[in-house]
Amino acid sequence: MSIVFDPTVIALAKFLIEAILVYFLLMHGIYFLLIILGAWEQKKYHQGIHFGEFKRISESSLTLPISIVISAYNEEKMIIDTVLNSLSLRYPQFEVIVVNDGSEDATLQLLIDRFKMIPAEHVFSKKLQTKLVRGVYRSEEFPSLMVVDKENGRRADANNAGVEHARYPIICQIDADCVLEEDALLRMIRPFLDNQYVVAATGMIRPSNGLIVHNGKIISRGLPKNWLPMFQYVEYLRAFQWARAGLSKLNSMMCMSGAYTLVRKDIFLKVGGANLNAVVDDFELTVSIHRYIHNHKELGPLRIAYVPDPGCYSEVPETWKALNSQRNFWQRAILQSLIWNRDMMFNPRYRMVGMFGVPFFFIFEAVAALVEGLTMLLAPFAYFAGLASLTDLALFFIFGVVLGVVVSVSAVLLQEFSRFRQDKTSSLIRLLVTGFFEQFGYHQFHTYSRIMGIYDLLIKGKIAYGYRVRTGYLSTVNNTKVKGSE
Amino acid sequence: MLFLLAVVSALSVAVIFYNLYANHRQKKISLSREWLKNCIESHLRGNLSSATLEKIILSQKGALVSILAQMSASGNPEYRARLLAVIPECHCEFVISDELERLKSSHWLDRLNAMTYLPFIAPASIVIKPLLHGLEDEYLDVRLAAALSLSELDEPASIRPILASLALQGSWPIERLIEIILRFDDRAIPILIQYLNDPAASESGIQVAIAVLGHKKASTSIAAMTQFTSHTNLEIRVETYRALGSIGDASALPMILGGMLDDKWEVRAVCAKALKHFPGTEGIDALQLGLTDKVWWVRFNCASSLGSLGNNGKEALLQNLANPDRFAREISQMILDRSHAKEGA
Repeated sequence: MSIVFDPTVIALAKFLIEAILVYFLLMHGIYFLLIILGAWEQKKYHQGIHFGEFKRISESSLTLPISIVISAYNEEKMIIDTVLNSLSLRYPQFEVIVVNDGSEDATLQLLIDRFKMIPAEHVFSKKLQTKLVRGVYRSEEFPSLMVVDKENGRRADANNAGVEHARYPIICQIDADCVLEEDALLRMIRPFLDNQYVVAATGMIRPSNGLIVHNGKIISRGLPKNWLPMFQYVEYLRAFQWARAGLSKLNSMMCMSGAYTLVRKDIFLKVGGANLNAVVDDFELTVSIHRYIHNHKELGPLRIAYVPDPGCYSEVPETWKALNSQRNFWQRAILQSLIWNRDMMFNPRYRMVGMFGVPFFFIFEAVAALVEGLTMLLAPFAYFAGLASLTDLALFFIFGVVLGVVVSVSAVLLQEFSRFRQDKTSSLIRLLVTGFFEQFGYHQFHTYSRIMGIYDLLIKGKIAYGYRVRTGYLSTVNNTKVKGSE
Repeated sequence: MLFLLAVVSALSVAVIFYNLYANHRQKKISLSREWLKNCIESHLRGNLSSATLEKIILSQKGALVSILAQMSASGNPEYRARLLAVIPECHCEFVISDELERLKSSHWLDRLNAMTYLPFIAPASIVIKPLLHGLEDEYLDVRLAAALSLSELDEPASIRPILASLALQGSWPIERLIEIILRFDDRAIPILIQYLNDPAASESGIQVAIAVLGHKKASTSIAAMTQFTSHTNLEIRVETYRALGSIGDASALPMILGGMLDDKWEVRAVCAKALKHFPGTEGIDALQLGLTDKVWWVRFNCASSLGSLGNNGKEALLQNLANPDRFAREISQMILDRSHAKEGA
């Protein structure tokens, strides 16, 4: 069955189909390159750990002290567990700063009651503009714990306030829903101790849905029960197991996760802190640091390191609504930052970041959803215009699914060589099966959310986002109820 | 297409088989390691004869070296000496020969592992020479492993070669090297003082030596350090004042007071911190003056040091509550509050 179209339209459609084919082949070609580089990076990381190294780091008085900054807005379900987890980390010297970003729930009161917080004076060097700090509290029970209570100003503002109050040279930013492995800081500080030119380091995050935590300690690392977080589990594996590792190998890692990043305090302040106007501050912070590195070559070969080790767990959305909202603002964040920093695109002055990192993120991340959307529209057109038979379309779809499954399976395979492989084969099979089923429905929904993100940013000019409402599954208060979205 | 489908299926099956194999192997290895460890401990308690342990070791020889290293790293010197005797008692000297042979391997990782494990399985008389040779390896990681092992053996004669091998400007964060030299006992002090007086010493090496002497509170090194208070290298100056403060000897006070007038704020900040070890009026006067320094960190360190100087320091902070300078007032209040909170706790 075919309908007669204008020859110009047919020619344009043919051109688009060929361009899309080249696009997907190129994208997957780069993915396979990143898989190889990611595997190499992971092998190098494991080879580089010497006998007794973490013991030495944990016992040395010269190990750089760390300030952990946790921004919290309406986090009453998670905050106590997160703080307990942070306080129980194995590290010689660190402090925990919780920034209560104008919470409207009982976050602050819970902290005051549980940790016996008392009002305290705190003098600090004011370098960044933040919303008004209403008070600072210190714990009678845990001397290394501080709470900064401020007016609501979004995560970037809260992070800036936390960094300003920090007294140590290394800042560890985590989200209020994050659970860290006991030795996470010891592993994350290694790049700073091994190389004086490392200015920031980011690590591997896995979904915490399925994790069992008691009094801040991880008891068991299971997989999520539901399909939706399982799909995201596979996504996280792809993103952290090879994508970021491979990009880091190419000095093109453009997104340090705001949920788990270590950064030198002086560098954080020099780049002006987290950008208050950004949809999400982490991508923009990474780009700012790259820009700083390239504008200050006289300071030596400064770099951002990647630690291919699963040290942090973060809650992923359990509902489609929450997922849609999260992916929408992630898409807006990437696109907004790339638009702001478009001068870096194909700019040899920024070396690999300019010649590969920024173009890769723009072409294969920021506009990928649009290309996929266009493919979905072109497919029926190609059929009705007689450009492709049903068999061609089916083959094309199967081709896409198979490639998608290959990259997922590669991520699962790389996970097997990491510190925490799946100890049950049944869990591994679940992961592999998830990587297959992800291609039917979930992937298309993801594409839709991202297209809407582009629309919201470019057409509606939507920038603001709220904090996500947590499920609170780590808490004994509410184990089942899922509240929703941003 | 079929090829791709075959690839994805093969890959998935391979992942599953690998998982089964890896989990099985991990269980087996940890069980056999645990068993060997228990056998060695039984032998040390006198419950297992050397001949029996020898047979067991021969069946598990691949794991022996790392198990001995692990046991040794978590034990006291006496326990370590007893562990070291296990190999000759069980006639397993071949383990040492194998490790010494691995030092000649063309693969850096083999050399690194051998450098790491040797001090836990062989006496110092055998391993010091090859370890010193290892300090000349082309790979930094291997040189580092050799230096760590030499510090494990606490052989002071290796300090200078370690400094020569690893104290290279820009190639290695200085703190890691300080950590290594700090592992040596006090016999290191005269060697480091001698190094400070050596015209051939590198600037990074001097920085490390000064830091270590400071950490070891070596008051005998103050005379040798004096020359570095006016060194052109800022990092050496900072390290010198920091060390003088840590040593806390009264003879160092005039030098630190002089450092409070240095052009560089980094030096003044570290001197302000160093003054917390000197409770006399001279130090307190200098700190009070420093509260109005133009650089925030200097002022902050002055206030913190005053807070650590007992009643005299607190008295000075109380006086500053009426200081016309707002910062001086606020920081004094904060330090006093913290001090009261600490006393309360």
